[in-house]
Amino acid sequence: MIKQKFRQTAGGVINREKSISFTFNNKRLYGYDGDTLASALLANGIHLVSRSFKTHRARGIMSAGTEEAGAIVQISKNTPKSQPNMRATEVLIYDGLAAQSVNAWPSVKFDIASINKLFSKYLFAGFYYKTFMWPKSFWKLLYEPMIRQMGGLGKCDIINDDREYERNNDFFDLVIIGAGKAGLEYAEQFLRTHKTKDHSIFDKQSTNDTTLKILLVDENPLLYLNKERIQKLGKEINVLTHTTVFGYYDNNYLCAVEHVNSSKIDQRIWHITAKQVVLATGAIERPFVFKNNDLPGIMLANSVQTYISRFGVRCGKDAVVFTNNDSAYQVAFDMKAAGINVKAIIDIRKTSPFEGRTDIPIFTQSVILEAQGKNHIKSVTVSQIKSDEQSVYRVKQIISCDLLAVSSGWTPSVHLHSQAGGKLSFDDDKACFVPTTTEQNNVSIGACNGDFSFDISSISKKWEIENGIGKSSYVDFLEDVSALDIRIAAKEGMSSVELLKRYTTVGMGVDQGKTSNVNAIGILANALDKPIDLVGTTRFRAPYTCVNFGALAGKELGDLLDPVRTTPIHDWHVDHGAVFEDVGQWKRPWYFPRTHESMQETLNRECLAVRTSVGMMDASTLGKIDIQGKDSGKFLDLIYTNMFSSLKVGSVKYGLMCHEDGMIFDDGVTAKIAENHYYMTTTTGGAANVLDWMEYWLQTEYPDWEVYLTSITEQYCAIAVSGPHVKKVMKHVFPEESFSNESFTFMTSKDILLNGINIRVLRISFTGELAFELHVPSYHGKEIWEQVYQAGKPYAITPYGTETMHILRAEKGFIIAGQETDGSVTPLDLDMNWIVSKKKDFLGKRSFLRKDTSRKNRKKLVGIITKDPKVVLPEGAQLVKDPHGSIPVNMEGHVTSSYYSATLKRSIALALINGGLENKGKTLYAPIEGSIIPVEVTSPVFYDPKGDRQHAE
Amino acid sequence: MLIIKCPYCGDREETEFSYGGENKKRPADPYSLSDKEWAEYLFFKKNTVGWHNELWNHSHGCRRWFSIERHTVTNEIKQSTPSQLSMEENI
Repeated sequence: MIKQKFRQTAGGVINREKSISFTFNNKRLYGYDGDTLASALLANGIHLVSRSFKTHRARGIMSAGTEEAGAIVQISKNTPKSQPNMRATEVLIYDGLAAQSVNAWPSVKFDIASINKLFSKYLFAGFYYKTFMWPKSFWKLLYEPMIRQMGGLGKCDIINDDREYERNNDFFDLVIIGAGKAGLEYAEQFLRTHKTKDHSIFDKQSTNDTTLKILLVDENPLLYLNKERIQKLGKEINVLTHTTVFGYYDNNYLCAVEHVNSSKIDQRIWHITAKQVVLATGAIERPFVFKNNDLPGIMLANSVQTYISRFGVRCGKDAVVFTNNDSAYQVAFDMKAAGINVKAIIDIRKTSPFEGRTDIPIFTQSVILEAQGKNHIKSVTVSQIKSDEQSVYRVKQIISCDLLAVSSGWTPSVHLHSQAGGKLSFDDDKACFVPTTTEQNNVSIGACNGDFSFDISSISKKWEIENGIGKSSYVDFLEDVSALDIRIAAKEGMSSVELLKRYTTVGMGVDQGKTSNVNAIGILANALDKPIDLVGTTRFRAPYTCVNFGALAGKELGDLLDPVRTTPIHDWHVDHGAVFEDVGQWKRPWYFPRTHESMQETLNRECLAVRTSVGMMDASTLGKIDIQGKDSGKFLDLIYTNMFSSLKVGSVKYGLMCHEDGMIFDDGVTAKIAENHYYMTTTTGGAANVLDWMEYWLQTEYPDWEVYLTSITEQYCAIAVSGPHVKKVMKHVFPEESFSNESFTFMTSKDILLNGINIRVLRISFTGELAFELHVPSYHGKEIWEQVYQAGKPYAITPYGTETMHILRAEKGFIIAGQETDGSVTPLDLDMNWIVSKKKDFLGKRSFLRKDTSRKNRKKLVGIITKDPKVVLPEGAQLVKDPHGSIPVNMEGHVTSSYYSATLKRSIALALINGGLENKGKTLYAPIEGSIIPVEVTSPVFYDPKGDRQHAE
Repeated sequence: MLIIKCPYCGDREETEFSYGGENKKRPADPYSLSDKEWAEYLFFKKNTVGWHNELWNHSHGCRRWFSIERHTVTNEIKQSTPSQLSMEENI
């Protein structure tokens, strides 16, 4: 095994018994169980991990946590476990882990695109907005492909993710986010001072006497946390470690991702509703903004400490510490204790409280002007600040080092507080944004509330070290945004941080600006000469860290993506070669092609079979509602535009429903089964809406009416049998019944008992042929379908699908709600005045009196035939009077339905046009894709206009 | 995800419900209104910022309509009222 040069002989929480082998850029390396990819790389002396987004500058590991903006890697490239844009600080190593640099080709050390650096003075703020504007045609051909090639970080592999994810929902009385110092103390204190069943803490009225449900969450694996204290807490409360709360939504609704990493489950998404949330999310250290501050080997001070204490890893040999506050001193002492040669502490402040208390040289009132190095830091240039606090002395000192630990202050992690609607204000003494008011039941404690465990009050507030105008003083390492970019943006009028963000892309990388936002705001405030509070922060949005799409999808993949509804006859359709159509969640047979038959050939055959012999269709998806109660008739009179209360028992009527604005929203037939008992059918797609709509009126306006509505869509199959030979088929199925026009008249229904099965037979027709609909209890649906099919065999009974149904009804000019109507069509627009009662009131009637609904030139239903009978218009085609008129041409209307009719041996269409049938016989034009198709306006009833066929004996 | 209290079933997740819009009083006699007044009822909503009385339907539950007071900025929900009662209150 290769020696890990930078690993200390002891220390850390890693398991030194268990060596882990992994690869980085195909090079085999070793770390220990418990290492992150970052700590294992550092143990091997590797800092340079990736190349930056735009300028391809060298990027190293700069932190030890979620704030990482430098070390971005791709894991398991070209495998089903591939994950782009992972932070090396968050990836736990395991045997066989393969990690790769992003944005580097051919290698991270020699990256060809880093030639961009030479052009970097052209990659200025607002670059995308300014550069790729002209000529327009270049965008698609040149700019976009070029940007796509150069930009981006990791590559998304187009391979199915084979990891397992799951989702868990839970409710908690109290959720504590963060098991650091503040979070742990809070949890322990809570358990000491409260009874575990005292629900009155969260809900004064509660009579619940169960044990309080409390959850403690932390994004770190248990290994890195205060294990003993957490394990002790775990006996009384729920603990989730290695779990990141990434979203805080209304009503204290939290989303978290748990990294389970077991053999079965990779990640688990938690949806949590909490009565009270305690945010103890800590704070993130800020880097300094100076020239070449992005070089590998420059790290946040506290992360250098983390690598020592958690992993026993030294991040360098010769170090310099650069700070503006007290917190970095302890880091320097720990570094020294770990054997790192700390050559100097550079402190911006006039005095340091540690002067004389350490043998490390302290340079007060000094700054690092720049760092030197190519792929790694080699030295820093230090200078003293003059007493005017604006400029520096010309005397400079160069200190060679391979590690620079920086701390320019602390940013409380207020993301969740802000996501929850909480407000922030800038605390001038602490130089950070702290939470003020909250909108939900939450409280911030500890560092995320600005309550640090060290004295921050003496912090110096210098947002950037100005050394001339340096392009390479970086604010956002991930998005390559420099201090200069921010100054340019300010000069160009980006006066608020929201504008700045969009213009420069600061804070828009995969780290979402955890280390860069406050520095950017500070520099912008300086440039605008405004107080920071007036510049403000951008609104924090979920997710706090990157979340896999796979984790969000969970188990809802493939067949489980969306529920599929099938009718009880579905298997028969599959067996008979049906092609299915999705109608909402329903699978409906679209057509039944025979071998080598095209779709149009199938439709022709199916249509002609119904017109000349007999066909059958599964209409089970129709919505079905059972309506009972003494006020049922009165209620239907309210809902439908025509009268139902006067219907005789055993009769069936077609009805239209309108919303209060007078526009049609559904239709269907309703049978009167008995006194005060109706059986309603609705369109397939409208079933749920119709039920909600009817319940609405019953429950809100007419609660005293006695009407009971029951959805029985799934309880009944509907089989439509249609064609000149239908009576013979029916007679065969129901030998006891008479189907003569006298004994079973059109628009009536009968409940017929067949072998103990009650079948509701309706004599109605949606094809214009003699037709019956058999409504069968679902359990027997397939059995009765099969019986009808067998009985029809002597007449070559033909199963048909929705497409043939559409053609047949269009030949008759029958509308489909949702096709001929679109929420702007009244019954009068469809010339269906015959169905609009003048005797009674109904929903929508008042609106027919409105000027707009009663005006003459409304779009109304007509038939359309193309002059060339072979041409089938596309549905939605616009119709115009003058195809050569000047643009914009007046649109007369549009085609709502269009088919080829085998019966009529020509194409037919329905359309809604200005003035409707007043235009009968006139020629209109459909301009389609360069050609102009002349059409003629006709009656919408193309076949059997007198309607004799459905009444045939 | 809102937790909405159905007056019949208790606290349930938002996904069980469908939204019914502003709880508007329906005019007792639409025919006595001018077209303008009728259009106000049909097409115009208050678009309230703050406490909003609105209708919901427990469509994937008991199927009852009811009204709640919801704050349109914070999404806080104050109370829920069965539909009949809320309509009577409106009158």
